[in-house]
Amino acid sequence: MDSITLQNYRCFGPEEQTARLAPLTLLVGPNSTGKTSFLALIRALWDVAFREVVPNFREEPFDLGSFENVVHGRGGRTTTPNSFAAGFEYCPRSDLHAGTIWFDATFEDRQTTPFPVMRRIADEDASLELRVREHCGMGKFQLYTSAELRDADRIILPDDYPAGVAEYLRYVLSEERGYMMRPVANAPTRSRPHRTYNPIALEQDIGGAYVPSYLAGLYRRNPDEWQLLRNGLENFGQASGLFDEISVRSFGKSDGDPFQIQIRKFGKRRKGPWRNLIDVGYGISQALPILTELLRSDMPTIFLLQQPEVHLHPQAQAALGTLFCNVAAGGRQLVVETHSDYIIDRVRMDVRDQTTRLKPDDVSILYFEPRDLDVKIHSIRLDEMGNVLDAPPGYRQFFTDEMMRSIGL
Amino acid sequence: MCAIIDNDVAHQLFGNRPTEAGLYFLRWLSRSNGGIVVAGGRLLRELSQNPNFLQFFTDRVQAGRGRRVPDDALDAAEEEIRSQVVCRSNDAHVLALARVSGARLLFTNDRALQQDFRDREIIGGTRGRVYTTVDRNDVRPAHRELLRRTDLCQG
Repeated sequence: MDSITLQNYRCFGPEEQTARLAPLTLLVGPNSTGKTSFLALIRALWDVAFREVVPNFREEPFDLGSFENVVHGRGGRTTTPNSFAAGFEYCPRSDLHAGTIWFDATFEDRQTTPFPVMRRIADEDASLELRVREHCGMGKFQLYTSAELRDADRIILPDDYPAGVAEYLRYVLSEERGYMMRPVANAPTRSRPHRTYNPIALEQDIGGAYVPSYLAGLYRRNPDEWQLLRNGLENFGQASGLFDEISVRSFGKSDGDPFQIQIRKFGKRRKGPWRNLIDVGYGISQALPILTELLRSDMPTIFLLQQPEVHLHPQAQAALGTLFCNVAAGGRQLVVETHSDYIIDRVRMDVRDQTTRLKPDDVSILYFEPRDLDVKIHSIRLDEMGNVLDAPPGYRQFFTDEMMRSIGL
Repeated sequence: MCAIIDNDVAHQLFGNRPTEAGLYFLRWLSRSNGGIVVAGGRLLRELSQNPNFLQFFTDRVQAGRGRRVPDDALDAAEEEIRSQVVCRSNDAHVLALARVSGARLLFTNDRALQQDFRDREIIGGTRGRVYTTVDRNDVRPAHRELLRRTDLCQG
């Protein structure tokens, strides 16, 4: 996705706003300014556009509540809008369509759920508007026959445009599912470590509780893949100062046998003892699910991360910034909500020093600025020197005031 | 508006006893609608000897109100200045920074550098303006007037 447009959604008011997305997008700003809501919207739009289902705005880790909680409202005597709108700009990954596709949807209240009553798919030449007349139960759009589709929808085509092209855009989006799995979303706090694990089902969960079992599964059944992932984890461990080696200690050979996750650090002359994950700092177990998912080759294209820096020392936060750059340069799209200057600074420096293949245009910093009761999103860019461009007045003023006080001025 | 701080006045902003005019300049740079401070190359290395400047410049860059200028571009501009014109000062690295960054405001007490900075032939394009405390360290109307200008950033 190249940009997100929104209007009357959560804390974002009636003025239509567009935020630039890049392979690596960092969401910054004070608490309660809609960063998590923004992540939720990306997943919701993906569901409407690519899966053609009604998005669940209550799905963890982004439980936004019912329609009245999701639509913009200023309280008091002001009128709450009866709909909100959102969309995205997208360059298909498949060869089916060259150029940009715009998708947007309007949501209204249906049984307290935000329901996409109108969807529009467009490219530079054609536009297809799909209106929902009624729906057959929550969670699905009504299915149309071709004739009904023509009856229900408005297809706007220039005179000389081949018929059916707009419907074709819809087909392109549905085909994109093959290239783009549903975005993966992480909770801001991850599952607690255990001394000994019993293998569990490998279904992804927002807290990464499945990750130790996934690691044990690789260790037992797929040594090559395990070694690859282990190398990636250990590279991060060394760069972050968290650990030098990671291993699985298995209590049996079958898949159902218990196991432990162990790590160790190296001293100057010899390797230190293996330690259980539960016996070392909380930061490692909190970071492990994120690291594993970022380093796995079979994960979706889009990652929606909330405060990945939680519990990590600044050195490890900075190393996370480098990892984000490398993962994003490898073809993934990361949207990261963060309060970490160490992550942002490392991204700036890696781009400037070209220690990553990520270019300045591949990074977008979205600043969520509170304005009275609403929030304005500013798209901030980097240049080749890692300089921050297009920052609005007031951006980081708190930090500047603190710095001036810190140096006694 | 883009500004350059010469190393010879750094103590007036970042020293233990900053001057009134130095502090006025620093506060202007610290405001969200104030100036953009530019630095790079030799001048940045000189200024960075002062930890307070380092902290200040890092903050400004993070806030999008500071610009780090590439060393190679500065080296090339410095070389160009040396080969093309005769400077009164020995601060071609500061003048090169003005050429590359487009900054047209300089805080310095070096009289020779002041003359060079005002010389269009040396820095190219618009004439530079100088904020100085050569005569007095207090804030004067001329200081205030200068920092109200909005046309001292070229390009």
